Amino acid sequence: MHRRLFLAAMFLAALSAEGQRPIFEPDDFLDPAMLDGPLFISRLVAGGVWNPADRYRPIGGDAGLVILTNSFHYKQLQFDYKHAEFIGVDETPPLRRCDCPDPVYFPTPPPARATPAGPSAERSETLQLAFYRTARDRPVTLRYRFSWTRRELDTTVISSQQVPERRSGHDQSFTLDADTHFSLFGRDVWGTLYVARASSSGMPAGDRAQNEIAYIYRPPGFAAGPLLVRGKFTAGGITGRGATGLNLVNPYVETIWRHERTKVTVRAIWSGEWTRSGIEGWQRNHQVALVLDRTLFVKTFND
Amino acid sequence: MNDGEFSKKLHSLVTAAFVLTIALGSQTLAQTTEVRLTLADQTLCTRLTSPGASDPDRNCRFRIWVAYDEQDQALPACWKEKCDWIASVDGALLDATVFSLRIPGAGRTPCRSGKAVDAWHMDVTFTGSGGETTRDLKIVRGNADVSVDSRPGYVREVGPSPAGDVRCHEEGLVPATLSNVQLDIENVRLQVFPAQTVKCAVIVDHLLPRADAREATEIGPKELANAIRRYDIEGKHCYAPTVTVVEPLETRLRTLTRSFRVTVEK
Repeated sequence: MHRRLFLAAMFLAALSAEGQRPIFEPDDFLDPAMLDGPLFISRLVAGGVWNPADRYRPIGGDAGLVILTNSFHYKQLQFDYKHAEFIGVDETPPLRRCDCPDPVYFPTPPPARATPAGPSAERSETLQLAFYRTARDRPVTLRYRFSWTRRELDTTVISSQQVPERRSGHDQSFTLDADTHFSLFGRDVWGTLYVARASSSGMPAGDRAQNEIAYIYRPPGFAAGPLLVRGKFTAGGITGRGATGLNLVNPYVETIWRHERTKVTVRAIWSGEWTRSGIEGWQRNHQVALVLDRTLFVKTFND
Repeated sequence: MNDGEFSKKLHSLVTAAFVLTIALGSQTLAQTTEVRLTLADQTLCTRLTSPGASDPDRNCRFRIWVAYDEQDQALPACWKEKCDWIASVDGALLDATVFSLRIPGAGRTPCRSGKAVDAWHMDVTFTGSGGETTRDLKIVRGNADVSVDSRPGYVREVGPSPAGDVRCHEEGLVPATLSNVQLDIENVRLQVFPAQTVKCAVIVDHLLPRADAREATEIGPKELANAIRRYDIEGKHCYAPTVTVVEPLETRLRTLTRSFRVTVEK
């Protein structure tokens, strides 16, 4: 009974809040069978992303990024804290407000039935809690994870009286994702199903929120010489942009190369994001990222 | 008798002996042993010879099944008269051959040894069935496929009773269900398959040197970690294809595995 309540609470929490991780974040799946004891690992990711987007909300301008990830694995549990710094993103520009009976802000934010703008924040913090489950009677390990990401957004509003006014807001997202496995014609089909909610509040021009539900198909990758290549395919729906039904299609290809001497992993990523809104119809955004990833510290606490 | 005549007669003699051997052998192979099965239990006999008591068969009015030689493959036996049934078994049988009847609705009889009347006839008398209660034992856990073992998966033992029955048993790999087990007279022993933790493994054949190279290859934590990493992205492990972090793998493998050098020779 408690288990059901817990699962229901997690599901509702996810429904009320975020989704797929940013493309530049590295995989951090670690099979609990590989653990000798509690494990702490810290990694640094640095690189650049072109046409960045956050939860299928485009962020203006290209950006450099530095991410520090800290993961603690204990038996079937994984705790993560991730801090990201974005360099060169278009910071939220000052808004101009006419002091009309109904205030109007310039530049005017996208209307409710259009794709919302992504959060232009210089940093984000993410907390994650994951649980690994290995079936007893068949060799299948699945991960279930809850994520919370928050960004602080400060906006300056300039009215006709030329008195700058600072508004503090934030953008946050909650995601619950669950690995899935089934057999189709004798082949393993792996994927991840997620529900997410992203919302921004405290914004002068009004709050926006969206819910996502999508399935990420994760076909096997392959090795081509020293390169590892893999793909993913996401399909689903996003609310809050005036288009119902399937309005998200996202193929993804990633190439990984590891330099053994420096232990640096180089990843080149393309993420083609097709989304549909009520006003704009189908739109595409090609996110491209080139990032370097290196493990800074690994510590196993043997019992 | 000169050498030529002697040689000719010897040849004829050998040929005749060969033909005779083949003929006798063929006859022996083709010969069947007729086994008379007598039920001493009049009540059971009456039940088995009542209309509708057995499977209808064109050549056999009241058919029952008999297992022999500790095998669970039963032969049909046809009712002949009174409480006698006749079964035919290929080849000759020894006195020690053990028989057991499979009786519809009554399981099996305890085992009895036959008594040879002559080379091709044998009599067996049964006092009755082992009991009225039969059960199908479903094997909930365990599968013969998961274990390669010379020991049988199950053994069904029937002990002797005072009435002259003999001990017998049958054995085989564990099926999904053991049918018509009579716990009144049978001891059933099942092989236990211990639960094993599910683990993922990695095949490292590709790390081995080619046979014609004759060069030693070092296989250590680093090589194994990379092999595991490749397996991970190819989706050959127990989870969705993923890009694994190498360092934790190397750390763990370093504590578990010592590097070894491998040389393959022709």
